[in-house]
Amino acid sequence: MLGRKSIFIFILTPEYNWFPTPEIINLINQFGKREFAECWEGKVFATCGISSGRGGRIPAIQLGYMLNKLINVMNFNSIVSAKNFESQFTPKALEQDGNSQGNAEYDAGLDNFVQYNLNLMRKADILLSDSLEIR
Amino acid sequence: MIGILCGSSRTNSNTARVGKAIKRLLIEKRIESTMIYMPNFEDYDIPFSNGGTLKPGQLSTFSESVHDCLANSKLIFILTPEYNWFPTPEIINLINQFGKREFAECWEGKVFSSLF
Repeated sequence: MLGRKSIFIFILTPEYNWFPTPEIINLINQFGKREFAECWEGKVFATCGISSGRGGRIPAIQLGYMLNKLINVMNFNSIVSAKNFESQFTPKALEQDGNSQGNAEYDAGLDNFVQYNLNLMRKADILLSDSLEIR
Repeated sequence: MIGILCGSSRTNSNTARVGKAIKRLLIEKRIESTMIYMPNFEDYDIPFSNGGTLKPGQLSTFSESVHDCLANSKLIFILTPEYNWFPTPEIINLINQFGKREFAECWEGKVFSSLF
């Protein structure tokens, strides 16, 4: 039930060879069809690339333009957030269960990513609703 | 040796059609057909990460054909359809799985030519 009940969707991918994973690309290709429009309509997407070293930026950006392509071609009322996150040196920043290891810079960046996108979701919920009429 | 990787696993794909056209042109230019490798991507079974990583000597029939294609060819055409402005997951996964030092013979001393 991908995204049917979600308004906001974080999409995370590791970086392999400067690319998002084939798994997430395949998921978007398979669900990126009109018969699954409910997965893409009226959503805000935020992307995050994950690396064990330096990296994460390229797949986050690439996922953004892939999602924008879907929104563009299918004419969905959805948004890809400009705020993405590069999770660098992830094993040194987070425990296996997702708890912080105390890297202040990493923690602030991740918190900023989440907070920015929560704020965007609240604004987008108004903008994307049918109740707003622009004259 | 010349390799042609057609990165669509779809049955009777347009990508395979183009691959066959390239093979035909190579043959017209006097390349022996036995010198051209073209694995059948309809048999694609390279696993995603949750299915493990490829290891030399433990390859499936399809993976072995890809390995032979890459390892024995000097020129490799890589073809992929465009889905959502991206190459296919099949071809990306292939490059990720074979793109390791234990498969260096697949990448060293080659010319790669890509076609979308």
